[in-house]
Amino acid sequence: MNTTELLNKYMYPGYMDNVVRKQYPYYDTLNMVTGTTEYFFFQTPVAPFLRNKQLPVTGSEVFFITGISAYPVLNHVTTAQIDALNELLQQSFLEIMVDNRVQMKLPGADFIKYQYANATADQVVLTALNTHMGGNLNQDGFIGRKLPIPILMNSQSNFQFRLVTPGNAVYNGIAFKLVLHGLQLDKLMTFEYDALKENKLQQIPWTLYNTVVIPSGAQNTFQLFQNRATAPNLISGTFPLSNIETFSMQAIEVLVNQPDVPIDPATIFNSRITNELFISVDDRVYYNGDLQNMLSVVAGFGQTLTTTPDLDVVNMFNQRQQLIFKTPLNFPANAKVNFNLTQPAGSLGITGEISVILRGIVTRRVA
Amino acid sequence: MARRRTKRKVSFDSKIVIDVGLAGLATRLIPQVVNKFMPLDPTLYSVIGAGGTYLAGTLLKKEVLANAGIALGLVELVSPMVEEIIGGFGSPATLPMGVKASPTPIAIKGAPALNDPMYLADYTNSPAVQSYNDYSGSY
Repeated sequence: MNTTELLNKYMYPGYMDNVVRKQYPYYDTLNMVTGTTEYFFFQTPVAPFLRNKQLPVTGSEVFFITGISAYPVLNHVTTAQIDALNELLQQSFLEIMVDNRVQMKLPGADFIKYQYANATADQVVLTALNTHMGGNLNQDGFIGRKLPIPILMNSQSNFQFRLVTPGNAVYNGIAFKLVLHGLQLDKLMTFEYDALKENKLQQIPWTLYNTVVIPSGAQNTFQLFQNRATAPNLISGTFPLSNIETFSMQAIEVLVNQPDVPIDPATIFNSRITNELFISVDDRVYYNGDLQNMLSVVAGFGQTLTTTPDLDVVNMFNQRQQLIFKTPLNFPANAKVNFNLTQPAGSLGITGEISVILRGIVTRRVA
Repeated sequence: MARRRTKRKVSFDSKIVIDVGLAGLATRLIPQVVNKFMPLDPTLYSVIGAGGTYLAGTLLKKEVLANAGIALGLVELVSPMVEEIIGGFGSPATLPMGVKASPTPIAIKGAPALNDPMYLADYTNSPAVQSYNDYSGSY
């Protein structure tokens, strides 16, 4: 059966067919609260403007998630807010579970879009905000995480969409809206998309990320994806992979944040761009280069003007980019992997964090 | 003297058999043909089937065909209601005639284009590595 036949058979309604396909978003909004670190989406009944879906999907529906985005409704205008945003991007994750199996664990940097503004001052008393949008920008302009393979939400499976975040006070009372973009199939009668059949392997989109603290400006090598004892919000997986899975890396982003004591973001970027990324698999070098095309910085820096009336202005810097590999880098099961990021002496942006984010697909055996 | 009971043999009338068979076919096929040109509401399939068959019978001057068409259409219309009332025989309620029941989901062999949702091999036997052309649109 070719694609057209398949589409005719399953995708479009007509005589002899009883399925409808539609582009459809699921969205849910939860208010964030200081100190509350876990949020579960799609659990409560549908409410206008807040959510359009309560899971699980019914017996006549199947949903394919093809993209994920989220938006905290806040304009980030101060360095404290950018600091909190950095926590949301680097130290928070969304975990998607279907039938009690993790389908994806993705960092905030993957899917959260945000608003930020440069505060600029005129010479007298006027302060103006110059607002922009930021986030994980894709080539087609979509801000959020597009999935190279859809996540299947089958009829009557159980689901969990769990957001774990440090619970920063900056977001107290702020609405956080999560949107699942995808395709929905509706049928006239109960059915189930049989995803398993007699097959033995599963492929899922995956983001492997690791956030590490920059302790000092001295030359240092960060050994990434190695320490299983890392707090769960700072890592989504370690090397070597288990003997039932392989990972194909398709894109990479290195995200650096604003340090605890903010400095000029331009200095951070120019310092971090010299860092060396080294990847070897089973003693064969697969990558060794600088960060010019994969370095992202989201930082703010408050400055005090010298002229009267001495207004504070804030200089925001938002550079998000990822390097899409022309040939995916495949990490085999059980392989010996070195994934090192080395900073030279005199590096700046001390006491901040670096997140290394690898995007791709995992193939795993049905266990 | 008691009358001898005569056993009447049920005669085989091939003409009636053929006409009723044709009526059965026509009640199913006519809605499909009409639907090609003029999309129909599924609930109308049995009515259109019966009406079309009756019309065909009238035009062809085949009384049996016309009457059987109405009878079959009536059965299609009434049987779901009857089943609903008596609860069927432990089987799920059927859709109105003309709407095919859920087809068995197909097994998707291999992974020719994994970023196509309908070729989604959530579980697969051939875990092909995606090429740049497959995934470049996803970033």
